[in-house]
Amino acid sequence: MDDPGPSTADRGTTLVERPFLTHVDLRLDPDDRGALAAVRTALGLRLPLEPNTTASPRPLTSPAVIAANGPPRIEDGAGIQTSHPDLRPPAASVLHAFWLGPDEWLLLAEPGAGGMLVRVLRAALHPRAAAVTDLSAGATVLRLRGPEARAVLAHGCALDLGPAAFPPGACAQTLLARAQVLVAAIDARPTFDLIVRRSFAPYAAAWLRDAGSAHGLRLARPRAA
Amino acid sequence: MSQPYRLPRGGRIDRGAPLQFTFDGRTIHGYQGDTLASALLANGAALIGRSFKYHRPRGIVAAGAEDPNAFVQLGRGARAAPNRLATVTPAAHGMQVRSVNAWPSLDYDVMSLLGLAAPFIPAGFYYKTLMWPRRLWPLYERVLRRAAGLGRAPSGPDPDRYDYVHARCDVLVVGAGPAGLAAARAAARRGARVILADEQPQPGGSLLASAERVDGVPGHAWAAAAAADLAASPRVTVLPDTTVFGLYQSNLALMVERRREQPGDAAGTERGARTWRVTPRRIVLASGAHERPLLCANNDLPGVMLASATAAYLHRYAAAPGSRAVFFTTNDTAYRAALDLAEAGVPVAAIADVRADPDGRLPAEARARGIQVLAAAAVRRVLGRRRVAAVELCSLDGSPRGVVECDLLGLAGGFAPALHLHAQAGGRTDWDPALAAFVPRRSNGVHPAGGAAGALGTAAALRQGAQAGASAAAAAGFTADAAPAPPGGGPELPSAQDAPDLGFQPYWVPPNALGRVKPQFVDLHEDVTLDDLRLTLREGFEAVEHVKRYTTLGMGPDQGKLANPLATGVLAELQGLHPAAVGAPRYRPAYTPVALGALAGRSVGALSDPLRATPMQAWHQAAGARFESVGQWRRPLAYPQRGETVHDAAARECLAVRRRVGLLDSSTLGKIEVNGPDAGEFLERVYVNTWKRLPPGRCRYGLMLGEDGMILDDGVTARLDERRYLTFTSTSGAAEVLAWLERWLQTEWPELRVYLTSVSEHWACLALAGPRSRETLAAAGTDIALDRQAFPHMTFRAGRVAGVRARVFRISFSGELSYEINVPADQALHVWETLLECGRPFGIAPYGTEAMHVLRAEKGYVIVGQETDGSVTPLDVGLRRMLSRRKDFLGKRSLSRPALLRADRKQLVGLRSDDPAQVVPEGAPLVDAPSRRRPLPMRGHVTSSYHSPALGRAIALALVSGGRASLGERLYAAAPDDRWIPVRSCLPIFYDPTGARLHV
Repeated sequence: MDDPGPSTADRGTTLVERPFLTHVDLRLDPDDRGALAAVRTALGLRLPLEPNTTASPRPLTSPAVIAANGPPRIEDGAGIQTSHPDLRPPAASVLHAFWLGPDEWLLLAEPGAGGMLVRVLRAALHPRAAAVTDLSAGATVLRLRGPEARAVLAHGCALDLGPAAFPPGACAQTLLARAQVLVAAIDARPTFDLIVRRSFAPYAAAWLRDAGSAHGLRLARPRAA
Repeated sequence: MSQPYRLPRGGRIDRGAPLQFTFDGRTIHGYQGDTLASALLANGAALIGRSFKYHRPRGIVAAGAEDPNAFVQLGRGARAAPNRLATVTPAAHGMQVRSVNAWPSLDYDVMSLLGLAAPFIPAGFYYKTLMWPRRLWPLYERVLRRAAGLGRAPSGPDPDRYDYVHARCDVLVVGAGPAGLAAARAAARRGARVILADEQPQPGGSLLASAERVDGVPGHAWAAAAAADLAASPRVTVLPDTTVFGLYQSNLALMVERRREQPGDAAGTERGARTWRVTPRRIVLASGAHERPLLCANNDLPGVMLASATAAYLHRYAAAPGSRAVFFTTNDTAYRAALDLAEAGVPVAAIADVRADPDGRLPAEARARGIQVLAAAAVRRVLGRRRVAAVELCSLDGSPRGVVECDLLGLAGGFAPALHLHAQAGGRTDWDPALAAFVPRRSNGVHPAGGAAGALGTAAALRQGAQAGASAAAAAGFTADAAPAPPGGGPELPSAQDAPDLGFQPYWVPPNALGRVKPQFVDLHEDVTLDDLRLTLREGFEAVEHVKRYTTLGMGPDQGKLANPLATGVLAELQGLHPAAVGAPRYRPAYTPVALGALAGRSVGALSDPLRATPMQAWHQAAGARFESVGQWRRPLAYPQRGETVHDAAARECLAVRRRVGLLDSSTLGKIEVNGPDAGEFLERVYVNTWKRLPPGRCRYGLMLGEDGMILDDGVTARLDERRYLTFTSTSGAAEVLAWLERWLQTEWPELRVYLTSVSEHWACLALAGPRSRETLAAAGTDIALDRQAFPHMTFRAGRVAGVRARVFRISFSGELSYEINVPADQALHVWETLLECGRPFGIAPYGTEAMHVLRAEKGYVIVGQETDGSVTPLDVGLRRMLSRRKDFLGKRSLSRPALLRADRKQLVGLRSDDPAQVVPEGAPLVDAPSRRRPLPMRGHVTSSYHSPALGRAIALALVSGGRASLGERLYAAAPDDRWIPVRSCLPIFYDPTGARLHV
């Protein structure tokens, strides 16, 4: 799911929607080591504690790494509570955990995993003070990829998205023109994912198309979910 | 071609590319590389405009952005561009240029008669005269506006596309003169990312306007090569035609790039301007210096020009600004210009030098060339009608030195650094006595260099530029050690000539011995004279900011670039103060006029603001809905069928809900999940009523107050489970309420273990309302038991509706049996369509916000923002019973303030008009009795007013002083057409007062 395939790669700059992904908002106390461990156990993923960074169960940067190492492996669960039957499937489905705030993360996962992720995380975090909320229907992901991606975003985003200040693995909540977005650097091609609320998505997409018109931006068709 | 003042050789123009444009209908010939001003001069057009106030003839004064006169109107129709400065606008073939402030023509301007009346239009004239009688002000304004005429606005939407772009860099260099180019090179060599912006189409700045050589080649050639080298570096962005017009805190720089139509542009190519919002780590300010004019009578006649400008037109454009010149100077720089003119074949009749003994190298050279040099002399008066014909010279002691015929007077009053950007960003300045000008103090990340730092001469500019570039790069973290190969190679510091010592002697106010000849203009654009400044001081306006406001000094579109530095010296001398004690008027952005379109950038039309829509938007559109805007949301107002007005449709939809069943898209409501062990405690603190004891599965209406006790928001909250609540907010208040709750949680109550998550966009909300809603919901298919006992009013159930996971709330905003069905937004359309399909046997109708408003008004339910306006308490709307006495909540203390308990506060009542068909206008004032007396005491105002289809009569809600205590009283509502509508107050509930229809 991370790679839309060779049809859109390496041919200028493209915009494609990644529809129907699972979006789960996670709130917990970052000083609660037990809570962090519970999430790690449940998802095979360390929540990023560094502000504006992303954690992913597999390398973000290079498809070559994936090719060399084979498909991404999830922690096998040694010493882990494995009584929950749903443990492995939701863990495998998580793509990224984005840092949104000191006590808030967004989990992005394969389509259809929302209910399962919420159940697993609530069970893992019980009875701690934590909140797990499925927001999948409330947002979508616009993927902007290609050599002109930064130039397109520069028309409406005040952040420095250059490779030094915003390398792959960086994310930030900001404004794209008049729409609030979570922008995440996925790889060095560069690829940016823009997570945008559903009612703002048509505006954001229209805005990107307009800004991209001077940069040869092409629209790509989303892969079937 | 007819360019009598074009020199046969030289200039940075392309003689192989002739062009023509029209100026007030007259054909002007020029070449590629000309500005409008240089082409006009080459064609001998000295008179190019009329002044703002007195409509005096005016000509070109400067060769850059500092010119106060050369504002022209470009183009016509939708592409009309007012306030373009001819001195910086490149000439292009086919342009239509018009003068401003002239009617019926530039040569015979009726309003110039005003000049004869000048003695009666002193400083502060507007304040003194036109304020009285006040009722005539609209007339004055109309006449004044026509007389003023700062150009004409475009007549239609701008066909050009504008752009906006954010950029970052390590060093922003403002100006590509010798200092700026040297700075950009030095910074780029150290590895810094550099943006070099220059307002001219060609790099070089002062080098374009002189015959100087740099590194052994002509200055302009060196500049072009240096800029090309820089542009070839991947770390450097060179932006010609780009003006940095504003500098703000934290080095935020705004610049505008003028993108011109190029021959061969593909169709659809973006034109118009691009605004750059740049945040550099450091700024090198190499914006140069502006020459100061000098005072003498009629110093505004066309043909009076800055000495440096005469050289610029000569060297850069090969345009002779006159045929016989006189210079008036305070320093040696004018001699260079005079010698260059003479060399080019324009005779120089005399140089009047205020210094007693001008004996430098240049004066000696001038004398050797046979130019008459008058020491301790001044120009007393300029003679001529529409342009300079002669100048009257005299010694500083007043003795006449003759009248010299000429058509060009060059003024050399010394140079003032262009400190606009420095000062805008809050930079401090110091008075430099040698320059008699303010120079920038190093500060706040801005590194001045060259003319902007008070350095004169190319060698000093190059030296300072290189230093500033290096130090700016170092401050941004790039030291020489880290330097990779320099772009372009070559030595860091090119060789050039040092400037001669200026030998500057201030000359602000002409000595009394010269007599009070008039008028002597300080600000040419605003027609502010020396006498105006004298009068202003006499009237007690002494501070420079007061002088500015009283006289409008420096308030023109030229921002007083020439006037302000001169005014500082003049005001100091008139008051016997040190110029530093007078100071300079505050510099404000924008440095030069910026088109509004450039600031808007791409945010025009559909992209100006997001239009938010619910998942059912396409369905609403297909059903012919009429929409209304609620914040950024578009909501269906009503669904008119064939032949129906919106009003008809809303009435039909109301009846459908009251008699059968209706379906409303209320997805725009704000929804916040309140999650955590202390969620109940948190809600108790922010709502007036109690929450901890609300059992899971139940709902309650809540009221939220500000700290002032005023109603902030309202809505239903459901307890989802032991530790989770779902709070509904109003559509327009959603973001504000979430921010308000987070603020209290984060800053005041961090001990509460509560997390707030907005789920507004995840859950779509479908309100199914009406006596047959239960049957409709059952028909649509649900696993939730719907009977009255299993699912009573104000409860919540989770289950499936039409096959979709749903949360169903039995809450009502219409007063009917109602189910608010929340489903994930991406499945909402399916549920919506299924409900409508399954409701068809029961007579279902979709209804919009208009019907929703009527239905709730019939029940007396308030809408926050309609019945309330930030000054309404729960007591005022009759919700005292909701206020908990057992606990504390935000706003509680304020509610016990005596003023909020007064009996005469405006309180919510219902209104029935005597004529049931008479709908009172919303917002109408209410009075006890009609009267012609003014002011008439108001009892209150109408907040909501509708025709109620269910009741067959007009109903209204109103806020009336002491209204609750005097229900049934007679009031009169004022209609806009001066009619009085008799009404009677009542309890604010018109339909089903017992609520029997809710509990079925």
